[in-house]
Order: sequence, then C-alpha cells, then structure tokens
Amino acid sequence: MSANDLLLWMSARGQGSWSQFRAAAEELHIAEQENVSSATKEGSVERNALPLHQSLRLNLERFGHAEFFDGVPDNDWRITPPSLSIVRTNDRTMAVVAGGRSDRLLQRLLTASQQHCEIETLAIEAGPDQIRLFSNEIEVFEHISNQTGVLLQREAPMALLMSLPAVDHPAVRTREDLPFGASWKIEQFSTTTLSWKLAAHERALAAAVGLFRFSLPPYRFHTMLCLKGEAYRLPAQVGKYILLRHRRRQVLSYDAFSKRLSLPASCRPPSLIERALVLCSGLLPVYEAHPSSIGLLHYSEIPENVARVAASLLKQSIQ
Amino acid sequence: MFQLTEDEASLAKGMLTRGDRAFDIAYWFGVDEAEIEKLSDRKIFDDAREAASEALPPPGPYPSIRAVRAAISALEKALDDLNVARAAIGMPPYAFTVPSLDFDSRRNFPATNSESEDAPSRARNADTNTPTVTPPRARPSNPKYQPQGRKSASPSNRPGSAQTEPNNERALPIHVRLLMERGGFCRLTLIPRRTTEMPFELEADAEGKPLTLSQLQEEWFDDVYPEKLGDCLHDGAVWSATLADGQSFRWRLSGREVYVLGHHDSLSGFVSKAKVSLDQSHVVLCTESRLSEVTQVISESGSPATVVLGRELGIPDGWVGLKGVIPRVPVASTEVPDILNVLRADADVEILLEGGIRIARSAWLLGHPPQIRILGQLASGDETAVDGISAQRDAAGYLEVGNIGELGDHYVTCGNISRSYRVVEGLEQWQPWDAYSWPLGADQPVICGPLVRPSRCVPAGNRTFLLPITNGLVLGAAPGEIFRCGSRADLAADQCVAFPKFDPVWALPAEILHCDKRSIKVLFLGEPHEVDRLRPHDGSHQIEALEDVQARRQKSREIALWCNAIRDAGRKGLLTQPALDGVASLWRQYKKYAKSLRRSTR
Repeated sequence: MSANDLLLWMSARGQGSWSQFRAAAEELHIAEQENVSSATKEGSVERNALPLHQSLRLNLERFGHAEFFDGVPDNDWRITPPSLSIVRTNDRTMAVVAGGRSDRLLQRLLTASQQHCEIETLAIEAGPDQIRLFSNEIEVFEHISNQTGVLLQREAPMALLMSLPAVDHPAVRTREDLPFGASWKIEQFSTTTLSWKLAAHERALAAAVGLFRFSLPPYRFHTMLCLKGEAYRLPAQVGKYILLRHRRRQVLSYDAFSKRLSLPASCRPPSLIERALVLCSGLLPVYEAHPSSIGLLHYSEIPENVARVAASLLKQSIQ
Repeated sequence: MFQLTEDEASLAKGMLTRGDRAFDIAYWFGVDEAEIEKLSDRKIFDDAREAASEALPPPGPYPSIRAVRAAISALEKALDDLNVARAAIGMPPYAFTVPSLDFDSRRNFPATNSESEDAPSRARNADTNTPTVTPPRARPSNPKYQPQGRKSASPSNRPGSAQTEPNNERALPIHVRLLMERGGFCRLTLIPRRTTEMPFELEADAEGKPLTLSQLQEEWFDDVYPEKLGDCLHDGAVWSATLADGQSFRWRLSGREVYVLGHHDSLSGFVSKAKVSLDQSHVVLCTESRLSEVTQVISESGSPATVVLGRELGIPDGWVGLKGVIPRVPVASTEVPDILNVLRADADVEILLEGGIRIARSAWLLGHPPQIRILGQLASGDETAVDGISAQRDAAGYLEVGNIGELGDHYVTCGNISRSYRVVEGLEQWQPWDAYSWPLGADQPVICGPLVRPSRCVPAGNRTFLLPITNGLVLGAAPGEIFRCGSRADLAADQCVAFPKFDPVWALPAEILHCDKRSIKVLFLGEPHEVDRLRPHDGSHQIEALEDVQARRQKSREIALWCNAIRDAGRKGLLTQPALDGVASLWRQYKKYAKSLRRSTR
C-alpha cells in the first residue's frame, strides 16, 4: 500500500472530510510503509516536525492533486480534475500529470502517450508517484488531452502566479482580535534568526509590526500579524514574507545558470506560490542542511520570468 | 464486565449479518465491544441461532444515554406544563406519567452500588414521579483487567458481573497502539474510542490533569501520549469529560501486565485486542517481571522467534515488547482465570478481508479488491468457497480464486461462517470547480489544482493564454471577438493572462497607436498550418440573432472595437509575427474584411 492508493481512494470518492482522509491514511497503512522507507529527500524537513498524514496532505496540495480546506463540513478536501500542466523548457515541453486518477484513466493516458512522448514516473516520498510526459511538440499534449479527456493547462506555473495576489494584498488576511487566555503559548517570528521565539502577550499588543504564533498544543495554532495596533489572522508563510518586507530582509536567491531558486527552509512560500514553483519541474524542492544555520530549500528548473514573478508576489527581489 | 445472554447473542448475530458495526451492537446491549468481536469470531455462543431480520432492533448509531435522559426530562417537563395549563382552565391533570428507564434492569445503564443502595436515583423514583438529584460520584479507582478462564457453558457464570461495574455510564474503551518508526524505533500511545455524538474536540479530565481529545476518525480520537505510560498500562486509567450541555463521557483502560496488540481494520500499526489469533502477527507487551512466563507461553504456541523491544526503542520503563508473535497452533486456555490466556490462540476459524482499497464500509474499489484470508483450523469436511465456487487456501491462508475482484457482491463461506463484501466502481469523471479566487481587477481567475480558468466559465476546455504584456489585446476570427487582458502593475511580469471565450487568432498591442512598431508586432496565436481555418467569419448574423436591445448594442460595440483594432494596427503598419507568408496573407484578409465591415455598418 502506498500514497498512490490514497490518491486512487480520494479520486474514487471525489471529496470528503478530514477525518475520512485520516482514516484512509490509517487504513491504507501508509504510515507503516513510509516509516520504513529509507529514501530521504525534501520530506526530511517536515518529517521531523509533521505527522505523515500532514506531509501527505501538503504534498497532495503542492502538486495540485487535491485542495484542502478548513471548516467546510464533510468537504474538507476535494480532488481536482485530471490535468496536464505544460511547461516549456529550452529544448522540449514537459507535462506534469496532476489531479484525480483511476486505473482506467492511467491506462488511457499510457496508451495515448506511449507512442508520442517519453513517460517518466518518479517515486515521491510521502506522496503519490509523479508522472511526467516529455515531447518536442506541444501539439502532442493537445492530442493526448483530446484522447483521454485530461484537461490542459498551458504555462501552468506562470498562469498560477499571475492569478495570485501578492502577500500584502488585503484579501489574504482577515482582521481578528488576538486570542486571550493564559494557556496560549505565544511566539514571535524573528527576521534575524528566521525562527520563532517565545514572547509575551503584551509584546503582541504593543508591537508596531510583528508576527506572532499563538498555540494551544496539540491542535490549535493561530498566526497573527500585528500591524500598528491592529491584528490580522493569516497563513504563517504569508505573514513571514510581509514581515521580511517590513524589515527589508531579502531571503530569496536565484541562480540563472542552473535555474535554481533557493530560500530558507523556515520561509517556505505560501502554498499556491509553491505549487507554481513545484510545477516548473514536477519535483519537490530539495533540502540542503546547514549545520550552523537554517537549511535551504532549492526549487529546480525555475525559468527566470517565473522566479521574478514569484519574488514579486513575495515582495522580495531576486539576488 | 457485562456479557451477552443467549437470546441477545442471537440478536447480535443477526445484527452482525445485517452489517451493523460491532461498536453499535455492543452499545445496544451494553457490553464491551470485545464481547461482540468474540461472538463474531464464534468464540462464544457458537450454537446460538441467528435471529430473524424482523426481530432485530433498528440499526445504529444509537442515541447516547444522556440524550435519552434529556428526552425523558423534556417529556416530563412538557407533561407538567400541560397539567398546569389544564388546571388553569379547570381540566383535570393527565393521569399517566412518562415512562422512565429502569436503571437496575437495563445493562446499558448499570446502577452503581451507591446509587442502588444509598442514593435513590430519579429513575428509581419514577413510580412516584418525584425527581431527586443524584449526588456527584466519587472518582472511581482505576480498573484492573479481569483475566478469563476457559469458556464456560453459562455466560452468566463468567468473571465480571453487573455488580463490579462502578459507574452508571458505560465507559468507552481506551486502546493501546504501537506504531513502528524508522530504525526499529516504536511509538506507544493510548487511543480512545469516539462516538458520533461527541464533538470533534473536547477537554477531558485524565485523573486530575487536563487532556485535549481531538478527532482522528469518526470512531477514534487521536493518539494520546501520557507522561507515565508504563503506570497507565499497569494500573489502568479512567478519563472523563463533561460538556457544557451536561453530556458526560468516560473512557477506561483496564490495567494489566500483558497486552496483545494486532492488526486493526481501520488503524495502522498494532492495536490492542482481546487475545492472539492463529497465524496473525502480533506485538505482545508485558511487564519485565512477566517476561519469562510470557516467552514460555508464546513458544508453546509454535510462534517463531520474537524480536525484543526495550526501553531504548521506545517501550516504557518496566515493560518489554515482543514483536513477531505469530501463534501457529491453538492452545487451550487454563480452567482458572489467567492473564496469560490472552496468549493462547483459539482454534476458531476467521475470515479476514485484507488490503485492497476500501471506499465504503464493506465496498472495495474495482481493481483493488481485498485479499481473502482464512485463519484457524478447519474442521474435517469444512469447505471454503467464494460465491459458491470452491476455493483452496495457500500456506499463509489466502484464498486463490479468480473472481474475487469482479464488480458486484461477493460471499465468502468457510464451514458455517461467512462474510460478504462488494466491489464497486469509483468516480471516473471530475469537473473543474472554483477552489481559489481573489479580486484582482476585472478578471477574477479561478484556481483549481494546476488549472487557471476565468470565473463563471462553462467547465468545458481551458482557455487560458499567456501573452507578452505588450500584446494584451486578443482578437478572434469572428467580428466582436475581442478581449483585453488586465495588467498587474504589482508584478515584475513581462506576461499577462488572457481568458478569451473564443479561439484567439491575433494578439495586438494594447495601445496600438502609441506603440513602437519597430519592436511590437501583431502576434499570430494560431497554428501556421491552420491558416485557412482561421479566416475571418461573417459575424453580422450574430447581431440579428439577439433579441435584447442592450445585448445588440453591446455586440455592435464589440464589432466596432474589433474592426477599429485591426484598422488601427493596419494604419500603424504593424508587421506580423511569425514572419510567414501565410500569416501575413491572413492578416491582409482581416484588414480587408474589417474595412468592408466597418463601411457596411456605418
């Protein structure tokens, strides 16, 4: 049993609750298989911090196989339609297969693809196998799309990025009061060390600009951005980049020669920006450990225009 | 612990056949779930006849005791109010009373000693209809596991009885779970049961310490990691929770010195179970003081050598784990109750459905059926069959038959026990849906996985185009097919996204008359070999087909914009790209067509 079965299960059901997802992860005994796996790539960044079902969820989201939401009863997750995300590289065109799968669909895809393009299946830790198709002509993928009913998304990474708001867009955050009560553990994000440090409630109230994490272990976490006396709830990754912008700290670096975008592992981009970066290569970022500092995540095969737009959305500049 | 009577066993068998959950059946009869599992495994009441379907109680899930009590209270109050109202208009009160639960006779609601003797409950006074308040209970001492002896003919004579149950609410079980991790390490946790009426998350009292229980699945809360797990395993634990609406719940782990952990249908890892089963792999947890006895009994069962898990691998202090316990021969339990009897496997036959992809309670996905495994020792003459076709089992107990994965219902029989399952098809069609959208100017692109679509788009095909930011005006082949891309001033992008609702043919500069014609071209978006197909269509009939005046005006405006854009680009002298004869020729046709159309509409 593997994460492939989990994706087949999700595809067969279409949508469901978080508890059903966790039950499926349990029932398919993914934990046992994954835990004995010796392959360690990017997953090791999270494996130490997150339980397997969370790693599975994040990886399913990163590739766009499924979307997960909070607080939608019985609809916490939903599978996306099968799609080919087209990316043009210098010498050829790549299509990353994402979304719902079934045995029949995979068979149709294989039959339609094998004569016209190169098929590559990569094992992903804590995620379903990644299927990538390669061809010299984009028309091949249109033909496959017509034959199999799989939807086509041209220039998927750029199309995604162009449809996303920047991290400081007001629509990304919601005004909310700070959580109160002595039992909350409060931490403040430091742009110097790029890590969380313990803080007091008063500090959150008084901060001109600050990002605070309120946690009530084991399950309640709120990330709050305190900005000139107002508090906003927002995703932690978004908050980090807003804060980095206020502190004028640049954390992104791009190597145009190797087409590699690098950033600190503690400053992972927001999920949809990361999806765009992951779809450039169809691969998860590679983690590079640094004994004396925070490790780096390297996203590969990122075209310069994609890196530039991603940096704009994160309010960073490429170094 | 309460046990089933023979009549109840008949009903329970019928409920099992109907497909009721073991947990619901146990709840209905007020017995431990292990009792139902034993019944299902034919370890008790093997001879009891299965009750007819019309005699069965309704299927679960059942309301909680609190809910029933609340309903009774509400009825009583309503009756009181009704009698007050009747008295006000001179009518006599109703003579009947709301029937109350008999807390002494119903095993679902066993009375505590204090309740039955010292503090009469509300129910005991039901005949007088005089409510009394039940005093708060003292915290019960932690329960100890009652070891079982050999099966007796009369269930009522078994150890454990109604008198030993300390509380008047049935406690939900706390199971022990062991998860194997990297490098041979293991993680031992407690995993409490959940019922459907419980909230997703609740605050419990774990013997004076606060404990947050959060839903893992519908029937389970998430794993709990107590500080002194070794003591909990040995002495047992009782947790309780009371919600704001008065509902209260209790969980219990019976302390013992030996635990048997095996595979579970819906949980990964090894989960505590009543006793070992033949030919199945288990982990046995025992105290260090019991290790030699446990090892002796395990070796008597024909199990291969076990792997010892100690403190260094994650087992609590004072405890030892034995991994790879696979009993190969049945061993009779001792007459006298003995905790080691949990290590002596019965000879009973079990039908297991293992693996596959289960998408509903007893339904497996087509192409991924379960493996059928028969465990235990078959009696002479017992036959194994799937859908009536005789099947042989291999050395590991798996059935080798070809039809187990076919679409439809399947029925596995082995001697006089049976089990059914279904193979069904999953979804094969998935449509795009609106997952994320932000107000970004006039266009509100919708994201669904890797797909980006225009909002409110008919879910057919995908018409997203990335164009150079200099060429943000898109034209189709029919007059009026025109789309202007919204620009993102906040992005360092040299492209823009276009969602035309037509097949685009040309991308013109957004500011035609002010662009630099040395660098900006008219981009051909079609395929060069399809030039003939992309000649301008006649669009005049489109206006005539529109009945609504406003729609006709809008269409006329769009046609005018389409014509003007082509004519402006022509006047500006913009060249086409790619620089192919066919493309340049097509562009000339568009210019000619736009000119004539503009003249005709003046």
